[in-house]
Amino acid sequence: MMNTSSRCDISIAVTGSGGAGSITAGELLLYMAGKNGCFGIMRRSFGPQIRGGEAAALVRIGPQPIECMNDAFDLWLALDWQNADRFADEIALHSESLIIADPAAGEVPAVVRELGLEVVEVPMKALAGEIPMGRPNMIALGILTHWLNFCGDEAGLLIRHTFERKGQAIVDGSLAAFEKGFTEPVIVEARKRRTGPGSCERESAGDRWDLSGNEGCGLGALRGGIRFAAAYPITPASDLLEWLSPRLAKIGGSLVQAEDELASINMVIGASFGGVPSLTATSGPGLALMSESIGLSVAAEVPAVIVNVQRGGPSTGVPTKSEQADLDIALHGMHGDAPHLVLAALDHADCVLVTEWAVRLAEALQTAAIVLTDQNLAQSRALIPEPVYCLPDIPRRRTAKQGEDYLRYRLTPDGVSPMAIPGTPCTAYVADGLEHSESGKPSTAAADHAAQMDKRLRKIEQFDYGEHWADIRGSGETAILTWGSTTSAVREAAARLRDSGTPLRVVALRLLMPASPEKLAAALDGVSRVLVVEQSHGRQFHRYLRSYYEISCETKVLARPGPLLITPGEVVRAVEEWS
Amino acid sequence: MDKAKPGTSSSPKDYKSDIKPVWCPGCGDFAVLSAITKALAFLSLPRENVALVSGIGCSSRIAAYTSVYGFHGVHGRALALAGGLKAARPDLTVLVAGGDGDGLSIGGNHFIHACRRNMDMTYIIMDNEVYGMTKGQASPTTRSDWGGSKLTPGGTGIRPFNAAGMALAAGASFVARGFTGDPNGLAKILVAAVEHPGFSFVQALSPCKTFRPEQMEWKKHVRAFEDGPTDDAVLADQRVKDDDGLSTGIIYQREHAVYQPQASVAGDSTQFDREFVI
Amino acid sequence: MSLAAKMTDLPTFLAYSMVMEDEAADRHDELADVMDVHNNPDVAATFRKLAHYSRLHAQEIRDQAGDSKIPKIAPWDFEWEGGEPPENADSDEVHYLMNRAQALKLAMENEKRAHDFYSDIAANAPDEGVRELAAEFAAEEQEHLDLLIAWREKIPESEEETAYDPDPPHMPE
Repeated sequence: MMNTSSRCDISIAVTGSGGAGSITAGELLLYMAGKNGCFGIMRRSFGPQIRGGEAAALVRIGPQPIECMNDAFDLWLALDWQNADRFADEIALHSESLIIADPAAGEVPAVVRELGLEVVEVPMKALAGEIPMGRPNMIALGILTHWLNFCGDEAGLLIRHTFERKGQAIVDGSLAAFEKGFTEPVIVEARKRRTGPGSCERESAGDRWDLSGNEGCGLGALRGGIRFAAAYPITPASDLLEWLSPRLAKIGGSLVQAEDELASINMVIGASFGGVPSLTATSGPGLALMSESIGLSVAAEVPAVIVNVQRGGPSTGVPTKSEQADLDIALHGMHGDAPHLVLAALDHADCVLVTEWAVRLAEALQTAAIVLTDQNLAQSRALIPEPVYCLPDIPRRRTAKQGEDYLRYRLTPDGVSPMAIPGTPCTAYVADGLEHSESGKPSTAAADHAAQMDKRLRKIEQFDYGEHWADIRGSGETAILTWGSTTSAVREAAARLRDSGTPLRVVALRLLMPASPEKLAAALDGVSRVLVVEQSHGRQFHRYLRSYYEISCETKVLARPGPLLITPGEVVRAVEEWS
Repeated sequence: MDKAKPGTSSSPKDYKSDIKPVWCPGCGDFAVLSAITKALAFLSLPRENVALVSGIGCSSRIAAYTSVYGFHGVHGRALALAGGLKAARPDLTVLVAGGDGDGLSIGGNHFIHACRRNMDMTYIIMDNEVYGMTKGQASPTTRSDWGGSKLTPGGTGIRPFNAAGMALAAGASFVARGFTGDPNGLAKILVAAVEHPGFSFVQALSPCKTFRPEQMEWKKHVRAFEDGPTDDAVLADQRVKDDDGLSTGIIYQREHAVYQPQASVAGDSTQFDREFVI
Repeated sequence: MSLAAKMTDLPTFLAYSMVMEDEAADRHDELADVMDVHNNPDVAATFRKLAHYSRLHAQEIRDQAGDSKIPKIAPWDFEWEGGEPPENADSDEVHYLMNRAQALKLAMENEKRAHDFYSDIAANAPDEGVRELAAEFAAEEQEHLDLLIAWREKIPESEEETAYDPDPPHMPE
């Protein structure tokens, strides 16, 4: 059952046309994995239809923390084969993969059939039809619960809890369908022939968190003190904003839906000018629209946090899939010289840390902070240990007290000047995107421009960001340099390579701007070759590294666009083939 | 600004900064500044509780010329910025000011949505039917046959926006037109606008001496609307359409639900951690 | 109906006079500022001086008022003909290249209107005290006017030519 990984885990794809319930089945399975002390991750994949389109729940479950999908799937359960060839790229299979399919749902598609895999046929639709309010997806959940050797009673509780609002009939039908799948003789028989993770020892210590990257960013934002958000819907950032909206309202904050991204970033700047830490979330096209006003945030020194959930671009591109190709505009998309912060989350737990860190840094440094995640991280759910982290001391926003000789943009040694909050007497000033003197008065004087530019750069460059600039794991003469959600695949690849005798160092950058060239040089001390891994056709990360860092050793780049995610196996091959 | 003292001020001068305007001598915008300061003085609003947000253009420079809190942002986005400020700080009196290009061209989308959103703020468009800061190009309120710009030598060929009509169509709850030739009348309108609960839109006819010298003739033609304010939007729209754009006064006023996110008691985010625990 | 008919008591008259002089001073300051900004220092100095005189006059009226209670009238409730106090300089008449002679001509027009305002009240106000004080003020305005005429005569004729503007407008933003 296991593939290239020596670790004891299983990757399952549940597919079906919309309304078949494949996503619900996947979500319940993931939750149950958590209840059973396992770890896991789930991604969703959809066709272009709003309703009724083909849908896939891609789940990976195992006894140890899992942060990325595996190279291939061990089990594909197809409720039907509607447009399943659309998923052929995404649901890679290996020679031992098992197919569970409903014989009534049509022939197994050629792309799957040609692999000559074992197909176990279960008439899920017919079985469900025998049960009032029975659904094939609950049969499927029963099958998978049995396959994973999870506790059936626990599943019953979960089903009750999930469907109780829909009425007793649905609860009863779902339970009966589950039971039918759980005890289906064909499956019981097939399971006996294959060993799998069900027999593995589980690390059950501690609670599991069930967290999507977008929720992680939302939580980090609130922890950092965000109390205002402005929102314009965009895939794949909308669910972050939707998560925030009711929760902000519970803790004295608010969210406003704006007319466009130009408005949302300006609302954020307005609210922040009013003294309230503020955030918006968007994706590439929205970030592009916001870039002018991010320049305003920098010039007027008004804190603003922008979470940018990357998707395939340019233009509308591949909006429901992942890519790491907004790095360029996040770093360099501003007009003029506009020093600002760019941070990236490396995994689900990191979404919480990075967003909280970004909010606190933006507040302390009175500038714009862009947090980069991507669709892969943002919209997948992971079962993880409770995120535990410790941010260094970061001062709160420096505000002005009532005073006679107040200068909003006073030149200070650390470049940060007290910010007066409206409502404070005697410190009224005009925040200005025009270059200004220390008082805020518009000025085109060369000396003012130079002094204010120096100040805005100084405050960012001189700040001590501490240890969180990167996540460094392992040792060895070969290093992999990466960023963002690709980190998970790289870490897993490094673990496999280590197990097979190739020590590896993984350096994943969390703080991209300002760059930390000395720290990276130290992190790469003793390294003779570096593999750069990124999900971008234009090698944006590699070009960034070449601009800001001295990497004198031999370098190789593994860079390709989405939507197919870079897999651990791909990284392993890139290292192994490097001679 | 340095002379500022806390609390209530009652002289218009108290609301002026010590920065000298860059506007051309004879510019109508001086009268808007004067009207705003007179209105604020009349309302005795503490300076620190007022914020004036503007965009980019000649008129948007106005933020620097008052002694209240100000934000001189980017072109066209003043209303959005002000909306965020008001949402987060409902205690502040928020004024927004800018030109016809800033508000109706690059900022046109924000204008109609601000009318529709009906947050409690006052928006003044200083309308001179021209882009002054960029040397005299046609704006969305310029007549189609104005050939005074090298950019559109034969005129724009497209009909101008009727700002008051747009505001009505977009659902503004207070629509008025004033004239800089009558700064006191404009100040009176502004007082009513600030006191109006909801989004109040004031179009201030403000001649551009440099690029539209013919507008100096406006004073011969500007007069008050024959009728006072109505709360009937259809009637107001009819009056606006029947008018040549030079009648002044409060055209429409009606109380609609004001949009303001209701903040609950401040709390911390630890309560949300347990949502994630399985 | 002339404004004079409304001057039924001294406090009302003083309120009107005070606002007229204050606003004239403010307008002259505004013009001085804008001439400063437009690098026309001579005319800026002229307007600054005119502002100074207006302020002196306003102070005189304040002294005159002494302890009498001046009614607080909202700016728009004054019934000025044309919406603004008569002594305010007409903004239409200013230009960034204007010369001192033109500035003084503008100021003279202001003083003339102020003089006419007071004269009318001196002749037609229903209250005798108002009429007397208005006559005094009218005489003062006449003095100002004479001073301005004398001032203007000192300016060389060469300065009186209308300026030719060789520069196109700038694009500051």
